[in-house]
Amino acid sequence: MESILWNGLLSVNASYFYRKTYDILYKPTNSISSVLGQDISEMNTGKLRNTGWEFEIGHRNQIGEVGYSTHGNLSIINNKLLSLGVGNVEQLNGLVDDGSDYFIGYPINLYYGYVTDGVFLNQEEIDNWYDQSKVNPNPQVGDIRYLDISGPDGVPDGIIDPNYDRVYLGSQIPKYTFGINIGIEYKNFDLSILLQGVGGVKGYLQNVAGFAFRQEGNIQRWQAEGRFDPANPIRYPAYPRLEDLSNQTTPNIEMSDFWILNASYLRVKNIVLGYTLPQKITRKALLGHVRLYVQAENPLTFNQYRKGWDPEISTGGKYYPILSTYTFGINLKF
Amino acid sequence: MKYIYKNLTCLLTGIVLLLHACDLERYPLDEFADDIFWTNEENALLALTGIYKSDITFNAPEYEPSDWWTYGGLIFLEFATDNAYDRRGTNSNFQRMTNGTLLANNDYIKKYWANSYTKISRCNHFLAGINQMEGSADLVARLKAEARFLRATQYFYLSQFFHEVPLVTEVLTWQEANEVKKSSQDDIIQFIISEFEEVAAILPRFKDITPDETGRANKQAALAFLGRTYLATKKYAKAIQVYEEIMQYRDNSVDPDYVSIFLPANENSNENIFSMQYLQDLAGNGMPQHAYPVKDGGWCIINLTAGLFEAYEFIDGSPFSYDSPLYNPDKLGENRDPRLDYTLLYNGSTFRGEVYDCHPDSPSADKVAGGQTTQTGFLMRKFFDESYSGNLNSYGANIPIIRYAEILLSYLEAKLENEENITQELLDQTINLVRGRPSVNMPPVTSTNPDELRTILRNERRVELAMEGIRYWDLLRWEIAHEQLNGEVYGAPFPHAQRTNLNSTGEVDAYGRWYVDHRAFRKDQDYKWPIPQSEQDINPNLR
Repeated sequence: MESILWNGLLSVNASYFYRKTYDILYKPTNSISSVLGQDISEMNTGKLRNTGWEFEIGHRNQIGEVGYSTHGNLSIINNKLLSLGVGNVEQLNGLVDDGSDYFIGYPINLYYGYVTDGVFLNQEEIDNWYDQSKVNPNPQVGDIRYLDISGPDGVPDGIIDPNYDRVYLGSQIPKYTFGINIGIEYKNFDLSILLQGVGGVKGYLQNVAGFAFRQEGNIQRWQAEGRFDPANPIRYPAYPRLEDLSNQTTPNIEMSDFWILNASYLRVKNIVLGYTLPQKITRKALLGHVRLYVQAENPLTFNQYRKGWDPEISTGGKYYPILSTYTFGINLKF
Repeated sequence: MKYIYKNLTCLLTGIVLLLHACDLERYPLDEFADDIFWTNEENALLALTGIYKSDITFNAPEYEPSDWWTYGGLIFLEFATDNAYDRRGTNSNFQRMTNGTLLANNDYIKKYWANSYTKISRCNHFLAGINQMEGSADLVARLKAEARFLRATQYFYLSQFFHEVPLVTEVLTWQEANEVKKSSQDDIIQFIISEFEEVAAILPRFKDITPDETGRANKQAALAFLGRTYLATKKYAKAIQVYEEIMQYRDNSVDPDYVSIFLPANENSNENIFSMQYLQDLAGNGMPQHAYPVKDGGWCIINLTAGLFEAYEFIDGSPFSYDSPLYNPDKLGENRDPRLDYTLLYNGSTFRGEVYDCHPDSPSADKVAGGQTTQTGFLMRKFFDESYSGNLNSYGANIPIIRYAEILLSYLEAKLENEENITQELLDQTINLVRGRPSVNMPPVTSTNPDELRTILRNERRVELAMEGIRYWDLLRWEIAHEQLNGEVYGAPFPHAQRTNLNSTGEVDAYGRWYVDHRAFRKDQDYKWPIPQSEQDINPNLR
C-alpha cells in the first residue's frame, strides 16, 4: 500500500510480506548422531517462515526560511522454524529440536538455557536450594542459582535438569528494525541526522568477550567491579564468583538468562552540520561554492550492553567495536 | 498446434535422453568414491592407514583428546587419577571426571565417544569395501584382521568407560545412526573377546612385523587387549592363558634401559608391543610445547602429584616416608627408585642442560603458582628426549600403548587374583624382571602373601606404568577409585618455603607440600561415564 498525501507533504508506504522457505540447503551436523562416525554433506532439509510488516513514512515541508524533511522506516519480522527435516526429535520438555539451537515453532538463532535468580549468598542457601546436581554438582557461594521450571510430570520437581529446566531465552534476530532520517535547511546552514536501531533482540557475550580469565585471558573492568565479592555478598552481581576457566566449561557459564543481554539499541548513525558561505564572499575570493561541514559518524549509542561492547555486532563480541568518526571538511568548487 | 506440441514432446524427450547418455555422474577429482575405490591392494592399504590415522591431531598441541591413543587422549587421562593434575585447573574436563562434577555435557567424554565411533565407522566401511576387492587372500585376511582389531579396541575402551553403548558393526545410514540402541556391557565384552581371539589367530607375530610395517597391529597386541578384557571381567584363568601365550612366543622382553624405550632412539624396542606412532616433523606430537617447563618455552600442562612421587620406594625397597632418614627434601630423587628421576621433573633437577627452578620463593618464571606454570611443583620428564632441539609442536617419540612390562605385571595379577600359589620363581619371572632391569635395579620382591603382594603389585604397576594412561582404568576395575580419588591433592614438598598454599582446612601441610586441589569421586555414579548429552538429545534411545 502506497500513498502520497497533501501534495507530497506526507508519504506513507506499508507492506506485508510472507515468505516460506523449504528444502533449505543445509549441513545438519548437529542433527546427526556421532555414532554415524563420519561427516555428512549438505542436503535439502528444513522449512522456515518469515512474515512481517514494513512501514515507511515521509514528511517534507517549508516553513518560512526553514525547510525540513523527515523520513522513517520500521520493519517487524516474525521468524519461525517450521521443520528441521533431519533430526526432528521431541525433547523431554516437549520442545522439538535436534540437540542444537534450533527449535520448531521458534525463531532460528535463539538462546536456550536456564532461568536464574541471582547467586548463592551463603552455604545455607545452597543447602536449601533445589537439587542442582545435574547442572552444578558442587555449588559454592557466589555460584548462579538456577530455577526449577518443570519436571517429568510437567510441573517443577525440585531438581534442576538440562532436559526439563531449559527454556527459550530470546531471539538473536531483531523483531523491530527502524531508522529515522531528518534533514533541516535554514539560510546557509544545513543539518542532517540519521538514527538507526533495533528492538526485541537479545545478545550474548561469549568466550573471552563474556568471561573473565577465559583461555588464560584477562578480566574486564565490569567483571572485576561487578564480580561476586564474598566479603560483601549481593544477590544480583554483574558477574558471579570469579573462577579459573581456561578453555573449559563450568556450571556458571552454562547458557542462562544471567548472561543474556538486551541487545536493542538506538544509534545516532550520522550527523552532518554544514554551512555554505554566502556568494558575496565567495565571489570576492574567486570561488564558486564553499561549504564547511562537521560530520560525526556513530557519535552516540543508547543501549544496555556491557561497556566497550557493541550490540550491533551480535556475534558473541570477539570483534572490533564500531568506530566513531568525526570529520571536519571544506567543499570547494571553482 | 497439436502437431507442434507432439514434436516438442519428442524433442524434450530426446534432450533428456541425451543428457542422460552424457553421464552426469561425476567422481570428485580430489577424493575417493566408495564404488570405484576397492580395485587394488594399494588402495586397501591407503584405507587402512586412514583408520590408523583417524582424526588424530598431528603437529600441534592437542587441546582435547583426538584419539584414545594420542598423548592428549592417553597420557592426559592420567589427569583424572591420583598421578597427575591438569594445569587448566579444577574446571578441566579431565579433572571433572573424578572431582564429583562429571556431567553428561563434559566435552571430553563426548570427544572420546565421537573419536571411537569415527574409527569404528571407518573400520566398518573398510570391512564392507574390502570384500568387493580381488587380492591375495592372505593379505586381505590380514588387513581385515587389522581393521577388526582396531574396531575391537574402540569397543574395549567404550565398554570400560561408558559400559553400555551401541554396538555398531556395519555401515549405517544417518537415519539408522540416529536410532541405534544401547547394547549391554556383557554383549560388548562378548563381542570383543571373540574378535580379539579371532584376529589374534590371523595377525602376524610381533617378530614378523617388517620395519616398513612398524606400528601395525600384531598378534601380541590383540592378545594383550584380550588379556585386559579378561582382567576387567575378572576371568583370571582365561587371562593367565592369554598372557602365557604372549610370554611363550618370546618375541618380547624387558628392555634393560627403562628411559630409552620412551624416546625416539629406542622406541622400537621389543618391549613396546604396540605404540602410538609419531614421526618428527611429518606426523609429530605437540607434547613438548604443551608440557615443557616455562624455561624451555612450554606450557606446563602435565603436572604430577605428591601421590605419584610418594609411590616410588626408597632404593632399599622400603616404602617411601617423609619421616625416613633416607628422604632428602632438597634432593627429592635421592635414595629413591630410579624411575622417579626418569619420570618426574622437580625443583633443582636438570632438564635440557639447565636447572629447573620451581621453588615457591624463587623469582623464576617456573615457580609454582597460578597461571601457566606448574601447579604442583612436578612436571613430567618421561617421553622427553632432552637432546631434541626441533619443533616443539612436532616431536617424534611414540607413546607405548602395550608394553611387555604390563604383560608381566598383569600376568602376576591374574595369578594372584585367581588365588594360585605364588612362588618366588613366579615373582622372579614377572615383577622382579620389571623392577630388576639394569637401569632400575630395585631389590626383588619376596613377599608371597596375597594381601601384601597385592599392595606391592598395584604400586609397582603404578610406578612402572606411570603416565602411560592405564591408571584410571586400573582404579576403576580394582574398584578403589572412590578411595584413591577422594580428598586433597598435593604437589611437591617445599618444607622451608616462605610462600605456601594453604589446604582446604586453612593449614600448611605437615610436610610442606604445596596444596593443589581436591578430588571427590562419587562411588554411586562415577564408575561409569554418562552418554554425552548431545547424543541423548538426538537419539532418545541413548537416554
